[in-house]
Amino acid sequence: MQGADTSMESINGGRDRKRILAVTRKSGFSPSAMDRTVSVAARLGHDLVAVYVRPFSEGESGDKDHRRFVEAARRNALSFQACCEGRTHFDHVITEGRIADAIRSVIRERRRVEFVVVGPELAGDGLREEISSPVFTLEPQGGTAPQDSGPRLELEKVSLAPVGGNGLSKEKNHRGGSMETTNKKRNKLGRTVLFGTLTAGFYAGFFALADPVMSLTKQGGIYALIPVATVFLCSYVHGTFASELWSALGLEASKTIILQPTESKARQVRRKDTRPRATLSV
Amino acid sequence: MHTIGTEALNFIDLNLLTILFLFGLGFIGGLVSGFIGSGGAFVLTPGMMSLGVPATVAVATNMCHKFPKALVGAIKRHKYGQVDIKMGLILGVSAEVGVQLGIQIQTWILGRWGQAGSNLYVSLAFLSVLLVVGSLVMRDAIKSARDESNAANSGLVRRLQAIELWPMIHFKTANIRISLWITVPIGLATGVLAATIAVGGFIGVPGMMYLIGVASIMATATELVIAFVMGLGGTLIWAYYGMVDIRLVLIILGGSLLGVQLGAIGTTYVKEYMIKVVMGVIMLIVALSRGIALPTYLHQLDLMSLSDGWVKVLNGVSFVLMCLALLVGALIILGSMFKARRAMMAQAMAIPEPEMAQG
Repeated sequence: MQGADTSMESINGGRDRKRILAVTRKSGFSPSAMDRTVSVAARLGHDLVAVYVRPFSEGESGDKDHRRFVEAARRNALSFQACCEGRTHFDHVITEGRIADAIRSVIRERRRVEFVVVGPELAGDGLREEISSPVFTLEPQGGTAPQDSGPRLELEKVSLAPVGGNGLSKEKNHRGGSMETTNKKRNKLGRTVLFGTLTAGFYAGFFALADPVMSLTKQGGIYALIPVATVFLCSYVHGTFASELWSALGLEASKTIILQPTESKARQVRRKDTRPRATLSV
Repeated sequence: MHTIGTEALNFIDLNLLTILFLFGLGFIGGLVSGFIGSGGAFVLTPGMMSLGVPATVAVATNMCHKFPKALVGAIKRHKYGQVDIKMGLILGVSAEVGVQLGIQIQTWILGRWGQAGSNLYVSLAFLSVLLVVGSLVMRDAIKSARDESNAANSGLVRRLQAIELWPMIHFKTANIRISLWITVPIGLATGVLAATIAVGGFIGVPGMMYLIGVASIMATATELVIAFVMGLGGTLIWAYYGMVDIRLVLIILGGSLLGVQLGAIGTTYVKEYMIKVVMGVIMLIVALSRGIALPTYLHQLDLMSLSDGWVKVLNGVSFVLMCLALLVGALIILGSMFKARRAMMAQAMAIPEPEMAQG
């Protein structure tokens, strides 16, 4: 680590939501790159963190180039934030050092990073070997990514359609399908009926045999396994039925886009600059 | 050894009202557990006792219904990526030790001051823990609702995570690296509280949030793993003594397995601070409930004089307030879940189709 976080500047967002890191070693993202990245983040309901990394090789820390880089990155971050307005949370990090070290440092600090999107200039940097999170390359519009650049960021065709008249589901479908098929619904209903019947049978069977079962469980000892085994069986049969029932009623976990309002005024937290500086005493 | 328990057994006769009461209580308790990782148990035990179930059978039955419910809830929430299994198991094992410690403390108090002393200890534990932790959670919930900040940002968490005391453990899902010696006391306290007031999650969840730095949604989900480990261990012991009324367990499970799944689904809709709100509200109402019951125990210990009428009234009000705590929690969960769901539907419908941005 070559001090990727020594000159880190950031605007903090919420810590709980999942995040996408958009990384560039330039001082800015192009408007189309911003737009595409924000679209993906908004559709997945993730926060977006733009990371501007200035490699050490492009000048000494603290010099004129560095200040110019930081100022340009800040201006670009403001544009990026404007692009995110009303669509997703945004924050940014301006840092310097090795790209992979900087990304790792941000992932460690921010947590819950789902994947990393890098600009085309970083496509051949071998980041995928160094970063544990998935890395995608953002292709320039109208252009092509460098050869062997690995996965590229595509906007998934996301369709939102009501389920059962009152629910919502998001279905990833690259061929453009949007509605849940009738077959799927039928299968769900079939499983609900199947496990409902099994549950009813289980309860009916148990209460028909309740007296002999109770007389055994009262004895304790090795018969302790009877209540434990019974509740495990109940967990499977009735638990599956309960899950299928809520699903059939349209109550499934939210997979839809959670649009969080962009913070009206992001809090700027400047880290204390601990870099050594030359001073002149007169 | 296990024949000792059978002498005390007096299993109740079931009727439709009893079944409906237990099913309903199970559903609401399950809903709250699925959402905040614990809860319901503190009402179920006195609830069963009010039906004439002996105290030991009520505790054993409650314990036996708790672990399958926690298992189903943990599996459901694991599917949503909210559970850190490693953390749950480590805390669960230390909580199991804490349960044994809690039982020893209870036994010692019971032997020294009798049932009234034990009741007073339980009520004081309820009051002190729930008032302190409940206020903390509630204050944090209000703060989070305002600025959506998180406890993980707190200085205390950072300081504790910075302690490099062997062995350091990396919890992959929570993405936290912390010393085992920070997690063990939380597990122990969870176990002691579980053995005392039957709801270890009131310490376990805030402990994970404010000391380890786990996000509230993950803390409540991981608590289900702890509850499973503790519940399974406790059930095996109680069942060995033949104390479990499996009929009551299955009736309660009938409701709670439906509730716990709904509660788990609810966590994917609401904002995280709602979890803290529900937890804080329940804890504070339960604290009030136990505060009201406190004079009755002081009366039993001859430290205070009360008429029998007042004892009945105070106990009745206390129980109703406990039920109310659960009911209020359930209503907040359902209300916020359906509200968030409606808002999401409206937002989703308003989002234009994306362009295919390839190239």
